Amino acid sequence: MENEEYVIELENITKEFPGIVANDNISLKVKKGEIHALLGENGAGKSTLMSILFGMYQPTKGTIKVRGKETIIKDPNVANDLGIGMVHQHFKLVEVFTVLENIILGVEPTKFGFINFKVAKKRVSELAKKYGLEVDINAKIEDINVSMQQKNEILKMLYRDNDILIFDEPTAVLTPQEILELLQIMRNLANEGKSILFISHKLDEILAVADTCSILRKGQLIKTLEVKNTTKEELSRLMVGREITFSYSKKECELKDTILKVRNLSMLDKIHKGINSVNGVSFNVRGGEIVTIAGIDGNGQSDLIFGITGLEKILKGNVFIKDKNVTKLSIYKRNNLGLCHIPEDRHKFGVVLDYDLQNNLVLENYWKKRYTKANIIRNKKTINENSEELIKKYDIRSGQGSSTIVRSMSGGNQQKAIIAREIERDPEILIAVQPTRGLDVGAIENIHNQLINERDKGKAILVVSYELDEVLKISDRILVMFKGEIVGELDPKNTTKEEIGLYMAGSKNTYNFKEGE
Amino acid sequence: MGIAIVFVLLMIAICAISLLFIKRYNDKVLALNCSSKELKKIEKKEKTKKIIVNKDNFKRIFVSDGAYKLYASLACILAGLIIGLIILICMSPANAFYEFYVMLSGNVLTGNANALKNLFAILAKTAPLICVGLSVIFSYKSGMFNIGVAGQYVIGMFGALIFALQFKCPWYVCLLMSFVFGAIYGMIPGLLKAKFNVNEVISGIMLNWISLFFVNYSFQTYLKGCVDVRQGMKTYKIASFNPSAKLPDLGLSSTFGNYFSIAIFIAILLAIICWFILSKTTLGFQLKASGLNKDATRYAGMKEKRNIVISMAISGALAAVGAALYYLADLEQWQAQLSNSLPALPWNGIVVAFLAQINPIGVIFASLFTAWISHGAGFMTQVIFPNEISSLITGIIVYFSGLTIFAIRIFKYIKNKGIKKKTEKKLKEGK
Repeated sequence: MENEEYVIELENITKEFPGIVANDNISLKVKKGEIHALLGENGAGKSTLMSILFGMYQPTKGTIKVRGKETIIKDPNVANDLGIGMVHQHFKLVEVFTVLENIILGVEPTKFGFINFKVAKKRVSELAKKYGLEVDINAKIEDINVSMQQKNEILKMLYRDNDILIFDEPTAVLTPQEILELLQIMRNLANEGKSILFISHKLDEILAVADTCSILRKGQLIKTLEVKNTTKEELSRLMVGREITFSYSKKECELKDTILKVRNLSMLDKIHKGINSVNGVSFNVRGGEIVTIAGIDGNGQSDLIFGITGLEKILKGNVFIKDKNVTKLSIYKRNNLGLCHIPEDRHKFGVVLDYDLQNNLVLENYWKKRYTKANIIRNKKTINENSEELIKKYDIRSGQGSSTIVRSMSGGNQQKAIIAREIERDPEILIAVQPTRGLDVGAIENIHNQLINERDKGKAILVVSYELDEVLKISDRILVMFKGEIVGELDPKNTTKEEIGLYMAGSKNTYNFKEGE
Repeated sequence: MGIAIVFVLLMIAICAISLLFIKRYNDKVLALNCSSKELKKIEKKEKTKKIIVNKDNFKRIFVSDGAYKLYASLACILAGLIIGLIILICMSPANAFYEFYVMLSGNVLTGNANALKNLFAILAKTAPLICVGLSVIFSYKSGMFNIGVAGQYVIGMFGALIFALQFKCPWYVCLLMSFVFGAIYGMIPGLLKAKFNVNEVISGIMLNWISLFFVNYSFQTYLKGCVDVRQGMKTYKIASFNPSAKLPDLGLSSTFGNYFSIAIFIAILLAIICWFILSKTTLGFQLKASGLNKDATRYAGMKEKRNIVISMAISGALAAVGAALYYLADLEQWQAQLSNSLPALPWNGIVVAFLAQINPIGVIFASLFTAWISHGAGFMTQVIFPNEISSLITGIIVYFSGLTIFAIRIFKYIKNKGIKKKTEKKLKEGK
């Protein structure tokens, strides 16, 4: 009979993706009327677990019980019927529809086959009043701000009579005041008997609103604890883990001239209008050092790199490479100034998947004298020689050598090819975003060694990574980014994961950039 | 009504049969594939001896990617032909086969006294078709769909005829000017796309109509000197008005006793140049890369916006030259008053391009086939099969030929299934 007080019981859930175990034997119970927080770093498996509960993935192993009854959640429709609703990180709304139309979309009340807006309006405004969700139901989605859109999503769930609500990092896009408001709404909902699963990596919010907290790390459930009996420090320690990290034997770095200067850089957020994803960032990178930008995914790191490399327009601020202002220069000119970029999305930017390996290895250099005849005609012979050389040097493995279509190569080898190409371009400043994402241990070590080698040659290296292990291993200086700003500058020798974790969660801010340092 | 149902059923049956044909053919190809794998080891040994095994290389040609594309094109042509034949049978069973034969032969192979004349007529129509096909290919390779090809064709015709009839220039000047006119006109959708991200399909369609009515207006007002008012504003025959503008024949006309212009040679030359630009030069490298992955080309520092404009300009110029080759050969005169629809030929360029699997060399053969069929259809007995029917048949054939990309997908699906079955069999035998 004890089971009945739990609305959701996940038992021994395991989810395997090819080559990776996203959830490893996780058991989780949620009581009626409680706010249950899921805490963990990026890639810890929080979103996967919730996707399983919402029916978007099927677990490899394990059972799900909803209100004490074992169920198989085939797809989100089944989840909906069971009263499970989800607010996604990126809202699923029709931009040109009004708030009301979005709320009733799919469950429209009808009268003689026509939508009965009167009934819908009445119900929506009742719900909005009850839970303190003030929205203008006749406004169009594209005209209202992010916070309103989120309220719309919550109303959508309530309109469908869902009483198990999943919030996937709901505060990531909100301002501090809006966050307070949202937390209050969540409390209201819980008081009315709704159960809430709250995915977050922000400790303050969890402490403020949650009843229980489950901490995930690398796909495993570390601990479930009562929030009132814990502290911020304990949570942060549990989140990032305590294992001793293996560090590379690096030489002391020999600092040279400043190569990359970023001053007051601001970038516009592409998804959520009216917000700056990068807000007045300034820093230097000198030759002979590896600077790592740590932080949780989505705090503006990608846009910062887009701004520096020229893939997106800069809103405000300046970028200098070797004292030359490149803010308005084309990517081609930046490349020729010695900017090399290992992109985060290697399929989107890094390679032309349907070209063969040899052509991808000269993607930026195809116009150089060495690879052309009379500057127009491509010299197949030298292109092939170059690729054979790089394949040997960087151990790029593929089915048919130089003429392999890149699409058929493994991710690790595609990454190796990109890194080989960028390093061979002899960079002044090498920017690597998530250079080891999705790679196995051997390949990771190889890539780290390549980066450290380049550093020892006196190149400036800027790495963006979401993994603290990696950050601590390779960097000479750590910058932590939070909400589009740099909040801390740390020395990896004198810091701990816990300390970085505090900066990453936004609970500390000590960064103060001074010109001429 | 009954006939209609029988007709539909027959169509479905034919589709099924043609698919079976594809499958059987495919099995053969698979068999070849296996044997070539076994032969690979031997081949390696022989290579060290520097002896090329001709037989094996020959077999390998049949299983290459290019060969698959060819099979798909041929299968589609065949399916189109069969359905065309069935329609003929439905209409008049007694005459269907003979008339179909007449159409296929294009009145060239029937032993007719006019065989050579017909062949030249087909080649003359092939030349502009090659050019418009190339135009579509060139833009498609760089990731755009140039549906404005008809407009560029009309503008090309305009450019050629102004300089031929109004300014009385020789043919090469006319050709060059139509090239320039087409390039500028093609640049417009390119610029709109690069600067304001306007979809090139939408702007292309608009520009098609703008070109048509602009040209008709021009010929009816300030270029009245070019048109014969008595014949419904038809442009004058170049041969009588300005013989120097007529495409030269290199003495071939007198040799064969029929007019034969150099248009086809110019078109083939253009095809080879296109192939060279796309596969050998750095420009082609950039254009193809942006067709395959726009973001990566931006990342690599290629000027993707400039490339859009260049590619559309070249595409427009090719379409315009196609028109010049047609009108400067004096095959037809432009009806400035009566033409209130766009000419059909440039639209066929899209079909030809897809039938050729977006290959600049393949377009030569695809154009020849299309021109041949539509020419041949004109010889079907009008009493039994009215003019519209011949157009309908060619339409169906051409339509089916355009489905080659779909056919390739079927080919590959069947191939993969075959491989799966084979591996499963092997696994079972192994157990």
